[in-house]
Amino acid sequence: MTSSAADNLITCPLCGERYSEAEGQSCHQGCPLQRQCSLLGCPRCGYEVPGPTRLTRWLKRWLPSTEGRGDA
Amino acid sequence: MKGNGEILWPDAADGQRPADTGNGDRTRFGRLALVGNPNVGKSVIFGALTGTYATVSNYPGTTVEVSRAPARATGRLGAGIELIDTPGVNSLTPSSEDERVTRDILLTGVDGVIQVADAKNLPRALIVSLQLAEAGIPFVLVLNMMDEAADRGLHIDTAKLSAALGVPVLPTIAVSGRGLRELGEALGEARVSHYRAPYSVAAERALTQIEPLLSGFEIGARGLASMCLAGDQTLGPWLAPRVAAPALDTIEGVCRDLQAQLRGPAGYQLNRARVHAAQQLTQLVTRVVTHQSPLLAAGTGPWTAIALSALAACLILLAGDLHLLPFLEHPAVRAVGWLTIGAALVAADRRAEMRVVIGRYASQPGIGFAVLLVVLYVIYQFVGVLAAGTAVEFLEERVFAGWINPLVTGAVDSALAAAAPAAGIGAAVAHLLRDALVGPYGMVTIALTYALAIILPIVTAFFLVFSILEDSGYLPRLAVIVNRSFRAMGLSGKAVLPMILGLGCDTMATLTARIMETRKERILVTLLLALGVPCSAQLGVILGLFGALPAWAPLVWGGVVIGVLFLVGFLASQLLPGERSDLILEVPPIRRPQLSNIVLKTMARLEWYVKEAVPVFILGTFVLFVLDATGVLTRIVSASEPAIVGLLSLPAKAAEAFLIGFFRRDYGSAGIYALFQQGQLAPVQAVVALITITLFVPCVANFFVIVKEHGLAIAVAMSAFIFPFAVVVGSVVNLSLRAVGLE
Repeated sequence: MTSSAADNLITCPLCGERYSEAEGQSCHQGCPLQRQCSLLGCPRCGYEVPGPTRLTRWLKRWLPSTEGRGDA
Repeated sequence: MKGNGEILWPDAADGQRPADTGNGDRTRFGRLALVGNPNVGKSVIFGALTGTYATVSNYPGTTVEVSRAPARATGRLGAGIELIDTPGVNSLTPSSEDERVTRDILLTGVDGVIQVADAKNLPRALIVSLQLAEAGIPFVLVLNMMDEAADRGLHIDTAKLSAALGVPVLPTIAVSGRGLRELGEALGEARVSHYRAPYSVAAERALTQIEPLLSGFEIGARGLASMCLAGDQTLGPWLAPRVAAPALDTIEGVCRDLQAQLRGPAGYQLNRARVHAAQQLTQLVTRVVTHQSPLLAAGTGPWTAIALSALAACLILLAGDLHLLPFLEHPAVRAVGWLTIGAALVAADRRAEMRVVIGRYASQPGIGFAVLLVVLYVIYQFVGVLAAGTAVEFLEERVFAGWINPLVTGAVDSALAAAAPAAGIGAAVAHLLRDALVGPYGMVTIALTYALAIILPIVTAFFLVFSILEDSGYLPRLAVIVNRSFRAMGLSGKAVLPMILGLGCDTMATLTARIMETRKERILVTLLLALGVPCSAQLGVILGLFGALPAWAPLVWGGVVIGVLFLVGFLASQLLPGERSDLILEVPPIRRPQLSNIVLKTMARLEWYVKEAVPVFILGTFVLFVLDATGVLTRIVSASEPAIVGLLSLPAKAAEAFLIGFFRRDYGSAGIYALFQQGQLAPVQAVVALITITLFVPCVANFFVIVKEHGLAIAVAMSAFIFPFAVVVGSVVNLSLRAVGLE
């Protein structure tokens, strides 16, 4: 995986799946809120998180990277 | 391959697929299906092999979408071949509509399969490989996400795996395109696998009896026979016109005989054998280099002691809040309690051993619930006591009541006084306009005050703490312990996911109820979601109100809501008996939450909330204003008085909170919050109102989703059950609390 592709992937907080924004938008199919809803659903377990916005993309540039976290 | 494709399948004798099945249907040649577990990268590979254009259509008779596109010439993959991207499956014996569609595509005949697997979870993929082998379908196995597997210390010997399966095995990293060219080359080598699961003697005997009756189809007889033995009811309509009635009777008899010899369901036994075979093969070809071993080998004794001390400290603090023992309320005892919790948090931040201990306890039976209690207590303290007690008071009383509302009211009055006569607006209309903006149901005085002064600070605190929970890896552990409770209720493990998701948004969770196997189960999960699972925003507001209520209030609310869920779930499971399915969830390690992740998630949620909730608040308030202006609101309040005042002992004005709660649950809860702040509700009344509104149908969006998923009749029937049920539960709680002397 290229680093830029990896950076744009979303990690599901529930099942750990990594998916792209486009894959996360598949939950909009058949949902009555699809046009207004900015949530993304994990393609594996359905857990929803807000998708990236202009504000969060801008914020991300100023926040420290999360790569290489020393987790157990 | 003959026909319009370019792949050449050599002779069937060496294990590859015969090109012509003899049924004369030449149009089927050139069809390859991408098959694999959910979310293993099938669509990425599909896109890479086909280019951008694809026909996406619902599979006939279903709502499941299937993509088809002609393949681009890559390696030996010819340009005339059609690729089909099938829905993800965990088994070819379907337990969901998605799995049935994939099985049906294979039943109708494909010339070969590209099986895509997540290299991180090989056993799950090999279960499907076993079924493809039984079905006699030539395939190649693509091990995707090899980089992520390597990151986790998994090293798969693809040559050994290929030899064991008898099919080509290709490592890929689809998102970066690595291995896809080799995949195109390898497709010509697709073969029927000789891989077999070691079924019991009885099962093998039954398969031998059935197989001759199911030969001559596109799909192998052994595959069809194992589906029959597994009791796959969805196969019946496909078999009926194709197999003679006496043969079908024989098959039914063999299945019955096998079932009589087994303790559990035959399908479960067959799957166990496949899981066992898949795990054995995985062990044979996988080498694990884990970085956690030294950590787990190291002593975790001191960290266990700190974790258990923090747990005990939290329970002591909670007992003090509940006034169970006077000395637990002593400031020194509480200070020691908070210091112990703080020490545990600092240790968890700095020491991986501590996180391992917490992770282990958080998903264990018994102590996992104690950990959950601690988590809820900390959230309650942060959201209810700290955020609601300080921020709401400041924003609502100082900013909105003291500054914004008088300013806007003055501005509106001045503007109308100056502009209305000039614009020819009469006094009555001007008065209406004023009321719509700053009146008792005004968009500024009610909608914006509720949204920005009451709910926003509370949900900000809740989203912040929720982001910390998400980033720590606690949520999967919550799912594990909730799963155990659901099994105790007799519900399928699959029901856990929609319930956990419902804590975020009930509307989306209702859509995920599609993963349930039967329509009855889907309806049951939808009912439980609508009945008793508060969404995140509503939960935040409720926690905010708890900060101002006695400590027994959250316990009563939680006990009643969980009790109702258990009762309805238990009763429904008795009415809807069926096989229990397992919840398969990968549990990550407990992680140190990262500030950047927490900030980004909290901000994203807040932005989402402001964009989506505030317009609904304004719309809801406007509807309330119209109802009030036309006198309908008065009639609604009067009509609901017997229930609201008579049964629930609430002031008649609480009917408005229930009414606006239908627009958004959190809006209704905010209405109750405001009534409590204005001194119109005593603690018992507030708890009764919160329980009743939690049990009400969530919101209008959720209602529409229920209509979409199950039809208007079911949605109306659910509402017809839920509304009176919520009032009955509320009135029982009201009487019970008053009977024990609470006010």
